[in-house]
Amino acid sequence: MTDLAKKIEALLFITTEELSLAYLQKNLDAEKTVIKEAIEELKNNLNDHGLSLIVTDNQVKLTTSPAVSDFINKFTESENKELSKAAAETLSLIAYRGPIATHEISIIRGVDSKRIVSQLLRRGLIKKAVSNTEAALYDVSIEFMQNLGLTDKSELPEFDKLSNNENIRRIITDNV
Amino acid sequence: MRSLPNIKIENFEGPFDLLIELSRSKKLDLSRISLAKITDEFLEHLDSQSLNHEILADFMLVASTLLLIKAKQLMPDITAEEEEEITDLTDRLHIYNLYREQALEMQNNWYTNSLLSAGVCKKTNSQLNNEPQSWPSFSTEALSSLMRQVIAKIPPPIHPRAHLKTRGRSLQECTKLFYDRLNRVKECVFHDVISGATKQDVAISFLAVLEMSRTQMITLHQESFNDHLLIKKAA
Repeated sequence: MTDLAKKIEALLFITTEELSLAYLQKNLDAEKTVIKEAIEELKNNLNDHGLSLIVTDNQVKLTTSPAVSDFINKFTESENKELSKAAAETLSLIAYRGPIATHEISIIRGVDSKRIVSQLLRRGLIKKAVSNTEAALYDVSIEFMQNLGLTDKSELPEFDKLSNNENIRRIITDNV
Repeated sequence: MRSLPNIKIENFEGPFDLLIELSRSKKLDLSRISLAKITDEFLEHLDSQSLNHEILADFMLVASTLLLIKAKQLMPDITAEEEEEITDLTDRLHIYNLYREQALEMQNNWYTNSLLSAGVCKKTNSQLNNEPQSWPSFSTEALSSLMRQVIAKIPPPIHPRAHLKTRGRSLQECTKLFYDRLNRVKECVFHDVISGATKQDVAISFLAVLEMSRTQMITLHQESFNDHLLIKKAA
């Protein structure tokens, strides 16, 4: 493993939190693409380990791996956190279509989704994404990924089909 | 048509959700024909419950499209606009349904096999350590005060005093003492000479007297046992 990948691994271990790409760039004095490559390398290296790397578009976190989920979850108090129907629907849209604006979510769900989006934001299951327009965009957080046992969004079922559906794009555009 | 008694409108997240549930319960797809069939029930549900105005508007919008669909069954001529409205609803329903199915999966999988963060499980003997240890609170002032008390209680060291004791008379001094006295008074009583002297001096004096007697400087006289010792200068 390259030196850079090792350093990232060590940093993730001692901080115990998710680290942003910006943080890694600054502290490792490396370009974004180089950092991303090192992250990819680390992720691949951890393939057959009890630990995994969750990677989103701008964050990375070290967690236990899906392979040991059954076992390791016995060691925590699972507070039986349930997901409401509205929360699940909204999260589903944000996960597949994120970054996405609230009104787009409302169009697809057929119902005003401002309240549920605020709720999810407060719960830390979604976060604000970089937006070029006035409308705030949202994407799922690493905590969301952890709760579902995902190390990458692409692990969502039928991700390609549901994230890139042309019809959806058209409908959103038509209804905006 | 009678509304299905088990389906409560509060359980539906929105008009699309309701439509899909109604179609499912009747084993219908989401085609126009099917939607026309469930329009009445949809409207019944709308009537039966009071919804807040925010969500009511959404339901009303869908209701109007459903009515349009139903109307067009009877009057097939349709404008382009109307066509678009109907297509829009059916398209949107299909799309919503796709994500809705994923959402149900998400609800089932939620928090079941999570990926855990570092440090979420503290390895402790939780039974033993349930009560937090309560240590007495100590300040440094309290500690030093206690220390002073302890020190104060320590008995002072015993200083050896022998070397500081006033030096008693030497044999020579005692001898001289007696000699001087006998030069003046010819005879003296030992008891009188050593009166008030320390025990040490008494002992030395007696030794001096004995020595003086041995060297015949003096003579010693005692009437009886324990009587006074009379010391006379030798002739």
